[in-house]
Formats: sequence, C-alpha cells, structure tokens
Amino acid sequence: MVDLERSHPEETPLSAPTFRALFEAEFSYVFHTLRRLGVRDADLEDLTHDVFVTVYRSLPEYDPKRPLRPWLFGMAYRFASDYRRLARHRREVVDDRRIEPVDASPSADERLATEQARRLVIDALDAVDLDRRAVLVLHDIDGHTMPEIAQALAIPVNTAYSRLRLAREQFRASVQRIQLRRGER
Amino acid sequence: MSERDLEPLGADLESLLDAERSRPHAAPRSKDRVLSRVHASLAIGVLGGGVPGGGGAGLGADVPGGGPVPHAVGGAGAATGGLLASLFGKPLVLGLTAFALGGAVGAGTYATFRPAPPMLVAPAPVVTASPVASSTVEAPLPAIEPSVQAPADAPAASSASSARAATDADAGLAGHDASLAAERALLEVARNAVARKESAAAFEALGRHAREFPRGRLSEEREGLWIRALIGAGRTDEARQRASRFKKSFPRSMLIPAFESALGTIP
Repeated sequence: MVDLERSHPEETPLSAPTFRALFEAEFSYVFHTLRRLGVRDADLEDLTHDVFVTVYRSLPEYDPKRPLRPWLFGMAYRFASDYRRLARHRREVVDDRRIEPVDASPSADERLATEQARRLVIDALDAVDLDRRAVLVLHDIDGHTMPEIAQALAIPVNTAYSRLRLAREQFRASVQRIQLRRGER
Repeated sequence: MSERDLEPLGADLESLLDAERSRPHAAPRSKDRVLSRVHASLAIGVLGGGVPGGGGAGLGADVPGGGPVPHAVGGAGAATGGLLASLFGKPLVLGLTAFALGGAVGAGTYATFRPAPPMLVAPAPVVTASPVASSTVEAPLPAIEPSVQAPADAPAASSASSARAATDADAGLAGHDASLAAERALLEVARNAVARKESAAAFEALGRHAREFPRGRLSEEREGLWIRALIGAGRTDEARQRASRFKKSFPRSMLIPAFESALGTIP
C-alpha cells in the first residue's frame, strides 16, 4: 500500500522527511511563498497543489543536508514563473477595498493595521521583477543566507547580491508609490 | 559583493516586512483541499491512502485556469455524474446512469446466483448492450506512453502545470489547461469506478483516456489505475504484464510498490 504517511521508497527512511510530514510542516510556507511571488489568491491552491505534486516526485533528489525551504522555494519559483507568463494571471489593480474591519476594538485595529501592512508588501512586491523578487523574499522575508539563495536559484552569489540590491530599490519605490496613492504620505 | 555593501532596508520597510514575516498559517481547510487533490493527482487515494477530511473515492477533479472546482462529495455516484455531466451533457449522463445502475443490478443478481464469476463474464449483459463498452473492455491494451515522468531537476515538466511553460500564447496554454482538466475528469471517473469495483466502467474511462490522450500528462496515473482495475477484475495475469511494462516505462513511480504489494498477495 502506498500512502502519504510513508517515506518515498527511494529515500533513506530515517533521514529524509516523509512527504506527509513535509506537507503538514511546509504547506503554509509554499502557499505564502507563491503569494509573494505574485500568484493571485484565487489560484494559490492550484499552484500549491502543483508544487507539492512535484515535490512528491522529486523527493528522491532532495539532499537532506541542504536546507529544505530554499529547495521548496526553487520549485515554487519555477511554477510562479510559468504562471506569471500568462498575461491573464498578472495582478491587476490594487484593490484596497479588500480590507474590511469587523469591529472597532483595539486588538482589531492592530490586526487591521498588520493586515494592511501585509497587503502593502504583497502589492509592492508585485512591482519587483520576479527574478529579483525571489532573492528579496528569500533574503529579507525568509532570512536565508546568500549562498543558500544562490544554490536554490542556481545563480552565482554575486548575481544574487546584485538582484537583492535592485529588488530593494524597486520595492522601496513601489511602497512609496502605493502609499502616495493611498494618501498615507 | 557582500552584505555590507547593501544599503539597509530602513525601519519603515523592516516594519512592513515584519508584518509579512509573521503571516499566520494558511487556513486548514485550504490545506485539506490541496492535500486531497495531491492524493487524487498521484492516484494515491485509490491505492489505499486516506485523505484527512477528504472523500476518498469522491475526490473532486480540479479545473486549472479558473472556473468552479468540484470538490469531494458524499457519494461517488454523484461525483461521477457531475463529472460526466460536465463532459457529455445531461441526456447522456442520464443514459449512462441508467446504464450503470442496470449493469450494477444485473451484475449483482448474477453474482448472487453464481459465486465468484470472472469479472468479464459477470457484466456481460452490460458489455454487449453497448458497443462502446464492449470495444473498450475487449480492446488490446494500449502502449504505455511515458510522457509524464518528471526529470528530477525539471519539475515543471512533471505535473499539472508542465504545459504552462510550453508556450507564451494564452490560447495555447488555455488549450493545455482544458486538456488537462479533461484528462483529470476521465481519470476521476475511472478512479471512482475502480473504488466501487465497477470494472466495466473503469475500463471504459481508462480506454477512452488512452485513446484521447495516448501521450497525456496523466498517462502514469492512467496506467496505475488500469493495473488496479485489472487486479480488481481478477485479471491477474494481465495486471502482472501491465505492471511489468509500467515499471519499465515509469521506473521511479511511487505507484510501483502498491502494485507489487497487491500482486504479491495474489497466488
């Protein structure tokens, strides 16, 4: 019998994660990564599914000595890249009306502010070129080192640094543009 | 270049990114839905893997590129009917439903009076009543086309999104998506039929998939289901032959242990 509780048969059972455990632990990471890479909310489940099917089939190639998340990110990045090639998948107009406060308590205000900040990040990221955005997300949000990022994206370390510098410039400018449009500055 | 050469993000951007870093986990329902679909895509559900919160044989087929996504439903028949309806339209669904019910009742009655009949004999009235079903059941096994075996470092070639990279033309991509959705719908019909041990219906759906998508992206899943259907129908020798060919075509498939386990228990 095959089920997701088992390790991939070609894995070393004691050292490699089972797919099910991996799915449970990393579902949110893949889901949020795809969002940060420009996948629309309505398509997140589809793309997350695609990534995990590929993860399942690629587990034998995973080296447990390497950090898992950059490996997962690399797969998510490839799917997001394909996805973004479709004009119909490009994010359209930023719609601030998506955020609706449900009550006026202080904690709700805080939650609203945090959610607005997250929306701003996602919207601003959308203006950053995807290859640069990938480095920014891995470095400034996920906290990975440049050698890990370079390995995950199969690029030289210097290229990763260069992309991060440019990504930050684009991201900063994008945040300012959005805040100006919203009248926050 | 090094970290020191980078201009700092600044407190305002750091604050924004802190909010994103603390993003809560994705909704559990979303996780369950995706897990169910992963099961379905890998043909694991029918091979015995449980799906938390899912519907087992009633796993819904997903429709890439938007549109409503049928999810797990309580009855496998309802799932099958819905999929058939989306594929063929209601009149044919009604006919097929009546056909399937009649076949099931006939087969059940036959089985009552003649224990352990060969599966190809038991539904004989059903098979002979429909040229389509008959030709499907009796058709020679199509060649296995290993077009979906994924290279390890090229995941985009492996699964549901593989064709998205094939072209930048939206029309072409939309066609790929529609084709994949049709493949999945057919295999969902087959999967449900295998789970219900309705061999004739399973072979019909699998045969149709083989004819319409001989090099389909889900051919690995189709062949996996086909072997399960053969085992379920008691056609063990054919199952073994097909499993042998499957292993040559998909030597890295996760489905192989299941076949070997199932076939190993049969004398």
